[in-house]
Amino acid sequence: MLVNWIKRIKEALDLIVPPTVVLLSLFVIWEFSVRLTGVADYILPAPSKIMIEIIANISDYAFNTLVTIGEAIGGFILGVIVAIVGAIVMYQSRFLERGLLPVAILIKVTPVIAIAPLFVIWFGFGLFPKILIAAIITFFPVLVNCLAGMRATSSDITDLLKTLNASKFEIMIKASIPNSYPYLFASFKIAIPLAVIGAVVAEWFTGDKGLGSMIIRAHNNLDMPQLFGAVFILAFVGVLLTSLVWYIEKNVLFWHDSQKNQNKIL
Amino acid sequence: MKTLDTKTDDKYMRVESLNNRISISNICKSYTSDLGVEHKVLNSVSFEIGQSEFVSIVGPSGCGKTTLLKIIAGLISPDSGQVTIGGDSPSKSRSSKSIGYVFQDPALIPWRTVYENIQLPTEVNRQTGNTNYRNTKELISLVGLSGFAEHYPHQLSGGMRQRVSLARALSINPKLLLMDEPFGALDEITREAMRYELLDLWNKTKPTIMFVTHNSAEAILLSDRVIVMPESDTGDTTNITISLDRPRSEKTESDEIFNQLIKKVRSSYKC
Amino acid sequence: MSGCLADGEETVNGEPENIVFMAGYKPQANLPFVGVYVADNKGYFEEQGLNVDIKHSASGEHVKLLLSGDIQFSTSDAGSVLKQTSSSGAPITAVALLGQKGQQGYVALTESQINSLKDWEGKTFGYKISLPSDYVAMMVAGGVLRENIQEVSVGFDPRILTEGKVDILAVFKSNEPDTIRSLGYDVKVWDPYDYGVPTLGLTYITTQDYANINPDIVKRFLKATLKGIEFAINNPEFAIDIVLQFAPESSAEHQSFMLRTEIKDARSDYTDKNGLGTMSDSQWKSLYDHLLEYNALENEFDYKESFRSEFIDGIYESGNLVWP
Repeated sequence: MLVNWIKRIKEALDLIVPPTVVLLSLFVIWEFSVRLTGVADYILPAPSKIMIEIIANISDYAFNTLVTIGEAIGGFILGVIVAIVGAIVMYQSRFLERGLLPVAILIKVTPVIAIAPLFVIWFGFGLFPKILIAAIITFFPVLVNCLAGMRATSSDITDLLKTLNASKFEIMIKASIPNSYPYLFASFKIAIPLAVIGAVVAEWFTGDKGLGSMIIRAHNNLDMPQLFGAVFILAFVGVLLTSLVWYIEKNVLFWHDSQKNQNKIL
Repeated sequence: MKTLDTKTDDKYMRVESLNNRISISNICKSYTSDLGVEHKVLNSVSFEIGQSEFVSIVGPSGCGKTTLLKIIAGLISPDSGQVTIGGDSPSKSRSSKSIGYVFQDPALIPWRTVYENIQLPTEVNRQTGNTNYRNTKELISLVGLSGFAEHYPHQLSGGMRQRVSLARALSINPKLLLMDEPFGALDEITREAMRYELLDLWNKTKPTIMFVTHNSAEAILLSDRVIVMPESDTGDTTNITISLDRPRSEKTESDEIFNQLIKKVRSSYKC
Repeated sequence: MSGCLADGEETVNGEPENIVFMAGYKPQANLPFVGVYVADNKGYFEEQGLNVDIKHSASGEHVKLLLSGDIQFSTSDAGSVLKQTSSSGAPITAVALLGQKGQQGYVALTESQINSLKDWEGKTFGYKISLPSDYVAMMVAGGVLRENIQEVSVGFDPRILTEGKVDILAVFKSNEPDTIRSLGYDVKVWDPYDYGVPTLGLTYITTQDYANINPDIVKRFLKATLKGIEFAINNPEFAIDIVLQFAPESSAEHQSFMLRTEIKDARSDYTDKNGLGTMSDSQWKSLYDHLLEYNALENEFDYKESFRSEFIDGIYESGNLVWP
């Protein structure tokens, strides 16, 4: 029992220690350079200044972080649902796939700047337009991967099911959709950081809550420590959410080749 | 060395009482290659397979063995010709879940346990009303995997996975068992063991078996009859009856008749 | 750069001084931009021995570039100068005040029947990025209860007003009212200045260091640009033509509206006496006090650092521009 816990703690440390060491080294170099060159705060603040700024305003940061995380996760979930539904639809026929794929690409390629103001006009000022923007950014990689995963189902398995007179629906449910899970999780790791960025960018167009809004305000005030503070927290959020995806993947995809080497994160 | 259990075990229901004769008449199938050249893969192939017969199909690569199997299973339609399985068309056999299929690749579903993999055919297409299923736990011990029911495919060896595939194919009590080079990916020793296990299972459950293989010796060891598919589209299929005693064993392979049969089969390859 | 010289003289070897001016936004008819455009076009910079490279800021990097020494002059809102110095201690200083009143205004569609400040109650008010302190002060001055107003942060697209998502919108007086009219809607405009709220508009900015080291160049720059502004006031069409050279896709009418509006706000009793662009201590103090009172400043600091009058004062004699 105790051995198990020790093993788990060691596993956790194996994951946390290396990146922490690298990060801390980078910070030390940064701090050193700033102090040595005497660069002003409003050009490039030292990490120590940024940390102080964050700690001094911790409740502000906490609140705004939760807002942005909420938008990102909400957008991610919405994007994933629509993407999976889209993949299932496109799986039904190559014709549909060829017809709908350009639409998906169009959505992906349209810059947020163009659509964000329209969303605000159509959907108001609350969380929804931001969730929608995060969803749009999430949508494409998940769609493409889900479809690829479904189409990659072993033809032997689908043949087997056909010899048993399984319906197209049954084949999809029992084989194609679960077959897409490894692909889905790969796309999740891409999509989650994108969703965060989407939420942040959306906040630049409306609203005064969230890390994105903090960044804009800090930029207007030339408050570099706050700007970097928000950016740091953002990076941390990205890592946290991606790790969460990775952790869930480990448990859901225990059967997949990708899980064989336990200590890899991505 | 594994000997065969010749005792008839009533626990394993035989399908003798059901009609599982196969009739294949004048099956033709062509494919057009990328270069626009038409290949006649099956040129008016005809033969009959008797009740609970074990028939091997051999022949050089590309002579249509897999295609023929797929046509019988109803996965591909022939250009012309007819197939009946126990008097039914392939699609009727499919809808009544009378066909078991074993591929060279075990094709197990990786996120299902051994138990769940074997259960899969019984879960699918429930409305056929065919409930003549085998007990999964019995099947697991039948293929010698007792104790591994909760294991996942990635935790099993190649031979073990193929046995699960076999158990899965048997779970619906098929009239016809189609096997496409099922032992091809296994190592020599496992392959030999699996052959005898297959014969053991066949003896207990007696479906009709169509067994495709590259290996003439394997074909002769296992079968009642060997059908040699022609190399080109101009040749005929050759029917070779295997007059060796059952139960087959290692001794069979050193039998003089065995070697004669091998020569006969090999010479039939060239038509 | 060679040593300090008398006003208006070129450097010893006759070579003009190379400086970079970056406007704080994309090319348009903001008054300080126009001053530079005209000075460039009419050769005023040349006459002052200056070779000015004119750039425009795409996304607000102009202040940082000023501080890093990549550019020498830029523009900024007076309130922004105070706020930025308050947050970061950055040594930005304004050397001329071209907006004696602030740029900010508030509009409602005429058809909405919102005619007085009191009518704002029960309505939705949209602002950009942060709640403006002058709005709060204006509500206080007008005795309006803010609890009854729904205040939302919106983006930069004025269609949010025309589509009825907000009833009142915070705008730049010289910009959106015209844009909205061109969409076919008439608007009512409120100016916080009219309610006694101290607001100031655009300035020319430079760094403290640069001003200390190159006072002469600052003066020459201001001479040329203020002469440009004088010219624009007297020849607005010509000035607009020059603006369109920098902003070819924009409409002459819109730029004309912007210039007219800003020219109006460039004048005050003080400038009538002392010259356009001059500024008083009391103006800056009032703005500073207002921002501090309404929590728009992060830290207290000495507001006098944010503006330096000696240069703009030095180019006028009895309210007339000394030229060359």
